[in-house]
Amino acid sequence: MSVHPKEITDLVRSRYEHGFVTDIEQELVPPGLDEDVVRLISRKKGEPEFLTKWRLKAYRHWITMDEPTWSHVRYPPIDYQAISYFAAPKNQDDAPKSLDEVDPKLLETYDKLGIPLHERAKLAGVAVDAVFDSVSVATTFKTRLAEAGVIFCSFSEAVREHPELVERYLGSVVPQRDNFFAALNSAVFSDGSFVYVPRGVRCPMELSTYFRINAANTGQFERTLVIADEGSYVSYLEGCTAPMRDENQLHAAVVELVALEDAEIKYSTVQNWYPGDENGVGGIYNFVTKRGDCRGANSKISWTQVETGSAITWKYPSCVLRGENSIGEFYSVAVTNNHQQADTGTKMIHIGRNSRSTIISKGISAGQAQNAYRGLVRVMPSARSARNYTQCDSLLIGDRCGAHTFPYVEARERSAHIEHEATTSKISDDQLFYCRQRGLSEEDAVNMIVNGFCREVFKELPMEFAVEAQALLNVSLEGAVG
Amino acid sequence: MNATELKATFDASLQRLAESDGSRAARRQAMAAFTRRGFPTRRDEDWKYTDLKPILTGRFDPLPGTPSQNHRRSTLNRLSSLELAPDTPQLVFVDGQRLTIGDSPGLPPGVEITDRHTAWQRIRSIQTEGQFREYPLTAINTAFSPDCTLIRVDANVIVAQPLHLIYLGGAAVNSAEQARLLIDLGANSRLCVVQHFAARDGGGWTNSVTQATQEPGSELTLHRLQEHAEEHFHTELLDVTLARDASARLGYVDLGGRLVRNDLRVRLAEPGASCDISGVFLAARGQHVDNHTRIDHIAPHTTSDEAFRGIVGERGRGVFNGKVVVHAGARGTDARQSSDNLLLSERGEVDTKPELEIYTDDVKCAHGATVGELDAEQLFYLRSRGIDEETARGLLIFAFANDLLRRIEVPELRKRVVTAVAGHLPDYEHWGGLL
Repeated sequence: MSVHPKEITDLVRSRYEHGFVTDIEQELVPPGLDEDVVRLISRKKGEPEFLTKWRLKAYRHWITMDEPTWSHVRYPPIDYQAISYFAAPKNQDDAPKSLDEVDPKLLETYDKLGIPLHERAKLAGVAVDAVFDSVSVATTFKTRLAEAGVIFCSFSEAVREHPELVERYLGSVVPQRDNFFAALNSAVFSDGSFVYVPRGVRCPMELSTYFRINAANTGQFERTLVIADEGSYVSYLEGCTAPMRDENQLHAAVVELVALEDAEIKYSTVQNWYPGDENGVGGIYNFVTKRGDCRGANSKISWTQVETGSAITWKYPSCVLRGENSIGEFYSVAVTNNHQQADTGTKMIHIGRNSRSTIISKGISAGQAQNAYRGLVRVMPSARSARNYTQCDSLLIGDRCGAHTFPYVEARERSAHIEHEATTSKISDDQLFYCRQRGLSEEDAVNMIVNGFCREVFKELPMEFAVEAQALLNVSLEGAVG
Repeated sequence: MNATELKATFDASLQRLAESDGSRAARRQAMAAFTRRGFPTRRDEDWKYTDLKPILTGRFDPLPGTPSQNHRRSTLNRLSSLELAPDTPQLVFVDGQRLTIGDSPGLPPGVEITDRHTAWQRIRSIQTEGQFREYPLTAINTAFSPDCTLIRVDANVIVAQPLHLIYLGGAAVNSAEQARLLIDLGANSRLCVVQHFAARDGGGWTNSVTQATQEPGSELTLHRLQEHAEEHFHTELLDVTLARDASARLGYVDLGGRLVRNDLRVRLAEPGASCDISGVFLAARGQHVDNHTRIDHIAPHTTSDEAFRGIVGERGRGVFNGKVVVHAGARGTDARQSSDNLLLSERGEVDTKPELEIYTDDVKCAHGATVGELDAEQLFYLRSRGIDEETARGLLIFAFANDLLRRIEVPELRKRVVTAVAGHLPDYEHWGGLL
């Protein structure tokens, strides 16, 4: 069975829908990075001294580090001195108290993206902390959360209102020196989200943040910190789209999760940043460090991600399973098309007794894209009866793309039980034929097969995300099939 | 022994090494490449889990002298214990040099060992800077190897008997055995080789390089059995290139050695080529065994099947890194790979990394890796039938290994290997007629 090449070319060329730029005034720090810039960022945000010192320590270490080259991605060298490290909407002093006060142009941007902030938030029962470039400008549902005692705010606000929590947990999962991009983020992070769920509280709604990258030439350095205190539960949703740009934009976020005894954190991501055009020009460079620490006994951290965007994705959401009986999960769908490159996976570090982890990774590669799974399962001698199951499958669409698997398994405990399986194949002609025979169009058949392939991951997503993710997948792969 | 010392030794002895075999250019090129590359360290991704420091700090002499008469005699005395069957043709190597032994059976018709000039010409024609960068120890072998053996099988010759190659390292204390072998199989020929490493004296280093080139339709079976003394170091590269419809069956068994690193490179260069690889190793008492394989599917419709099984006991460490690369255009590739490991001790470690790199869509590739201890249910089954714990464990471990060992085609070799593996297990003498 074959598809006409012309048809494929047309469909593969389907444009990025969300490509537009909102023109609003921005306050920019001139490009370049040195200690003064780090101090300036800290001062502009009115941060306490410990944080300024913390940033400087990170910066001083960062300048001694080399950019990592081990991943299976290729990109021109990034000039870190050509990036502007701080951008905030102009009228920051009189920050809006409610949606009505928000710059209408901002709201317009969200509308274009199909995110009716207030309506959707209300209807779906979702609290949205929308991050526009670097500074949070709108937060909803605060009151309801406050009643439950949940703190959900921008990172800067947390620094002002809850410095003791920030000081205690910041960098305790991803230290400043962790890696090149984490160190950079630690030095210059602009804003992000902060969540604290107190002891025994089940967060009454799913928390959600929409990230946007907007101003040209500003790298975005988000910092997210989620703390689930003993016996609490929180589900956090992160999703994003970005306007079309010709220049590559650097994104180096850090996400830290802390789950104390009996706590559970569910972290879901739909990532749809601008992947570059069909010739591989432009697109976001996404170098993210995400790590969760199952610090207490019986704690659980679950990562679910759907990665369809970005020119380069370099991302390994990990779990440190410190607590006894702690559980780590990683469910991932990564789609690359055209010239996209993804090197993504997870690390499960088993330290506690009876710790368990599950890894389900689905990679789909089309066009001339390169899609790599890179994972580590490490069982330390203390992790008696640890258990891991890993399954990573790749689907190839077209003969010019690549799918790669680099799993590391390191076992130092004999009672551990580790299984790893991986397969790579294309959509089989038999499957397609079967569907076509039953009257499905080729396009529908492919969508159905691909969605089936990703099903195990999608079912882990919260409802509204699952719908979005499926639609996204279909758009991302439209016609790339033969 | 560091890179600078090696270079000095090399410069001082090149004249002697290359005296009569025309190897000067090849050796020089290798040494130059090694000087640029240096010893691999754990910072190299391919050496992440294996540290060569014990070899570097050992005072190995890369240039072993000619074996003494005494050693020669004792070597010959050991041979009878290593022989497979009395009429099996065999070649014996001591510290990398081939010994001529009077009464051993001659080579079968159609099989020839070329002169050393031809062999070195061959080496020079295939060696590249890239190869030395990837396998720096191969460069050391090329620079210092005292001998080089090229076995050639004419087209359409089916060699019925296996060829037994016995390597007895360690003529002198701290000697480094640089063994070098080339195998050329003519079109539609068939050959079975048993490469048998058994260095007796502890503390030596064997660094072997074997390169096989297979013409269309040829079949190579190569069993590599490593039974070094437990203090011995072993590093090797086996590099096999297959033409159209050629097939290779490669089997590794590692029982001895303190630090073992096996590199395997298979190039399925033309359509229809296939390879079948299996490996079994035991690592206990501080042994470190690293199997590092790379299979390149370069042409369409090539197949590979790879299975490694490791048994890791007290303070042992087993490492597996298997890479399958499916090149663009290699459609119809079928590749399977598995790495299964029994981790039986509190202080053992298993590091396994099965990798796939795929650049075309019409492929079927799968790999699997497992690490764990013996299955409690299987143990219970045996116990419930009145078998004591020790024996039950021994039987299960043996069965785990035997899944692959039974693939060994040479009956005498299979028997030897099976007995040797079982000999490492508890209570083996009570198994009665089970073997």
